[in-house]
Order: sequence, then structure tokens, then C-alpha cells
Amino acid sequence: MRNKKGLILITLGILLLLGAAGLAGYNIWDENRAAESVESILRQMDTLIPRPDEVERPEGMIPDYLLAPKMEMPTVEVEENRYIGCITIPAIGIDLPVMGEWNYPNLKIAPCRYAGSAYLDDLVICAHNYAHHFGGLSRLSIGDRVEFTDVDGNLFVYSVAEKEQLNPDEAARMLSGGWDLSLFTCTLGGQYRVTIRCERVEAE
Amino acid sequence: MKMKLDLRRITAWALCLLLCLFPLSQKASAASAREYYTLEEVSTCSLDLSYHIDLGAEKQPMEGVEFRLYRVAEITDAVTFHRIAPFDKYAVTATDWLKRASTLAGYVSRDCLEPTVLPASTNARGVVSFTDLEKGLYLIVGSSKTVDGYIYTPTPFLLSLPYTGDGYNWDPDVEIYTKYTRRAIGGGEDPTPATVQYHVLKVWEDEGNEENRPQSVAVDLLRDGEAYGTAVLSAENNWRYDWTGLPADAVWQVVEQEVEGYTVSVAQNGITFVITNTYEEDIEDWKTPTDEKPDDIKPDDGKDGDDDGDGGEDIEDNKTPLDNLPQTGQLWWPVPLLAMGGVALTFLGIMRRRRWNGEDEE
Repeated sequence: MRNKKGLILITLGILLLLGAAGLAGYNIWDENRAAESVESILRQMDTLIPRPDEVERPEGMIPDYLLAPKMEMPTVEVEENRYIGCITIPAIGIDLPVMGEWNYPNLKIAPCRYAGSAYLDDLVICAHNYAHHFGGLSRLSIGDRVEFTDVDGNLFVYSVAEKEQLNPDEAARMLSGGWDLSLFTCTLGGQYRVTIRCERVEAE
Repeated sequence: MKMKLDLRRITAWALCLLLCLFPLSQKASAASAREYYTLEEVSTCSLDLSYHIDLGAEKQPMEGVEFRLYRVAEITDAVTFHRIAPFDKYAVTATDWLKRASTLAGYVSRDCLEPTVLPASTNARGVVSFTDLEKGLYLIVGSSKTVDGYIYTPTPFLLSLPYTGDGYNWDPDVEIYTKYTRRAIGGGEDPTPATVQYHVLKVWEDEGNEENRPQSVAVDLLRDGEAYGTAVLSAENNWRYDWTGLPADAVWQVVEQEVEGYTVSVAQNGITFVITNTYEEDIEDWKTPTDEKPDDIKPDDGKDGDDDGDGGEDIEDNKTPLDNLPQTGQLWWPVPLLAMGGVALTFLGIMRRRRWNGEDEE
């Protein structure tokens, strides 16, 4: 009987180890899938949206967002999802598409707009904490450069101004403070939201 | 909500009396030596409108340009404007007065409305006079004229006749200069191509009421006041459209086909027309001409957005659907727990088996 108990413990232990390995394996697979997904989307977006230095406008035409900042952010469709632009953070080596609306299936593909607009200086972007998405947000330092390019090729440049951790129930706080751009993702344990607050600076 | 809207409308329309002349009236504001009257004392009004264009250092009078006057509203004793037919059917946003005039001018062209008084043209001094005008708010629209490779178009505007600067003293005889826009039509030495392109952009001001938006909206392009084409704007084309290769020697306007529940304003900036639709819950209250309460055009505090007027952010109305922030993390935390538990149980199991084997040997 005692011998049986030992066997049961060993079996349970092995099952737990297999569970840990399985979950870790799934997470790694999911992370690689997400990385490949955004790479594919970026390749397609490159052909759909002009680079900021390639934007051509007829003489006398003012960019739409300057004439009407309250306009809807324009989108392009890639793989049946609509994207508002791309976010680039050189300090942590990410260049990612940003989807127009957030929901959990969308978050598994790419970062998403949580609220606001780049044109009204209140854009909030959320993403999974995959290493290739926003997993490196906590490594950002004050003053680091963040760029957002909309689908018309308009470049918005920001500088990291503040880092904070918010509780999951602080949605109202996420939207307050008058920040030009906010980025957030979960901490590793999922208990808090790593939040990066940015101020808009002049594009060089 | 309705009271707030009314207060905003009252303010804006009162301001209109003061503001709608500013960009256009050098003479009117200089007429301080004139005799003024109360509104009741004024029976009829007159208007002398001057139209000169800048040609470098000199101003040239524009001769032979036809101006048309449309009486849009009557002035009430409460110094507000009570819209009259046919203008009471147009759901034009009561915010910016030049935009409002531009929007109404589009409807006038599209619907071929007859002017209230006979049109008249400017004389050799660039002046046109109208007399015996009934009191009211007038939309004033002028024809385009080409001079030296440029097409000049008077800017449509709204004018209160009689004019008042303070709401108490009224001037029945108004003299004004009109503004204009100028666009090269190409040809000759001008390198500008003989075609132009126009861009139309739709903006929605309906935060919290997005579900009321139509799936698409049709916008008519008018060439010299006549229908030329129609574009359908929707989320699919980002509510934008470009017309290219249009003849440059014509005047182009856009008019939106009516959108239920929304007011509209059209503004032109260069080659871009911005059409703004504003959601108005009480739009029927002031659109219905047979309503018992006068549908005075009243007004707006001049602020955009933040409809409750408290100056704060309306977070409750924000599109963001949840009280809680989304869970954006992978499920990593169970991994070390499972691993440690697994190692511990395996270790215990091995120890137990070893002890049991040891006891057996003894």
C-alpha cells in the first residue's frame, strides 16, 4: 500500500511536470505564432501605406487630420482586419501594426487601439505581453522615442514621459491624465498593467 | 439636454449678429456716425455691397458680378433668428457661420432655389445695391468671374439686415465688402494644369451615438451649380473620396444628401471639402415649422465636443466597453507552480518508495 502511495505521488508529479512543460510549450508556440503574424501583416502594410518621407499630396492640400482632427482614424484592411497604422519603438526593437479596434481575438494577432485618436492626442494602445509585442515595455526609459505612423503616412513622434503600474480595474485612470499616447500590457503575472505615458514631440 | 442645446443655440445665434459681419464688413463697422434705430423702428433695409479683388498693390473693382440674396430667417423680438421656408428644412449645424453659409449655398444650388429679391450685378465701381429689403437674416451668394487666368468666387455669407453690433442699436442701411476665394484655372503662362481634383472628407460628431450612423452617405458634386457626380462615403473608404481630372474653369461644390438625425456643415479648405455631421437628439424640435413653440434658431457655446458642457471628459460615453482593463498577459504564472509541484511530488514519491523498499529489506 505504501509502495502504491509512492507510485501515485510520482505519477502526479510527472503529470504536473508535463503540464508545466505543455503550458510553457504552448506559450512559446503562441508567441512565435504572434511574431510571425505581425511580420506577415507588416509586409502587407508596407505595400498599402506610404512611408512618411514618401507621402505626396496635391499642391495646397492640407492633411485631413489637421483640417479635421475629429475625423475617424482611417484604416487599411489586411487579412480581414482593419489597421490604423504602425508603432515603432527603437529602444526595444519593435515595429508593429496597430489594429483599429480591440477585442481578445484581435489582441492575439497584433496590438490594438484601446481608445482615442492620434489626431486628438489621446491615443491608447494595448497589446499582449508577448516578447515581440509589448513584452519589453517595462524596459523603456524616460525620454525613449516612440513613433506612430498612420495609414496616410503621417508620422507622430512621442517621448516616454512616465512609467506606471495600474490595477486591472483602473480603466478610467488609463484614459485620464491628458497623455498624448499611452501604451499598456500585462505584467508577467497578469496582476497589473505596465503603462507607458508619452508626450508628443516635434518630428525631425 | 434640450435646454442645454437651446442655450447653446441662443448664444451662437446672438453671436452671429456680431460676428457674421466681421470678416466681411469694413464699411459697416466704420459707420459709427450713422443714426441708429431700435429693431421695431426699422421697416425696410438697404445693402450696398462692394466687391474688389487684390491685384498686387492695387484693388480692382469686379464689374458685372451677379449677387443673389436669400432671406433665410426672420428676426424675432428676442433677437434670435426664426428660420423660414424653404430654409427651415435644411438641417444645417448652427456652429460656424461661414460654414453654415457655405452649406446653405450648396443646398441653394442643388435645389435651384429662387432668390428672395431680384438678382443684381456690380457696377463699374464693383458695387451692387439692394433696397426695400425686409428685415431678416440673408444668405448672400455671388457668381464667379475669371480674371487673368484665375477664377474668383465671392465667399457666401450670412448677414443680418438691419445690422447690429450690440443687439440694441440697429442700422438699416448696411455697406459691406465681400471676401472671395481665388483659384488658378491654368493655361497661358500659368503652369497649373487645366484640371483640378477635389477631396471630400466626412467627420462624425456623435460620440456615444455611433449606432445611429448610416452605413453610407451619398455626396453630390455640383459643377457650376449643376449635378456632376455622386460619391458614396462609408467606413470602407474611410469616409473619403477623391474626384480627379475635373475641369479647372468651373466652380465646384459638394452637397450631402440628408442624413436622418444629424445636422450638417460643409467647409472648404483648398481642394478639401470637410463635411461634418453632428448628432442632434432634438433636431425635430426646431425643424418642424408648424411646431407651436417657435423653432428659433438658437445656439451653441462655441465649444466642440463635450456635449454636456461641463468641460470634462465624458468617460462614460467612451467607446471603450469595459470597466476593467483587458487581460493582455500570457498564462505563465502556473508554469513555475506546476513545475515546482511536480518536482516536489516526484521527489516525495521516490523518497517514499525508497523508505518502503528499505523497511522491506529490514
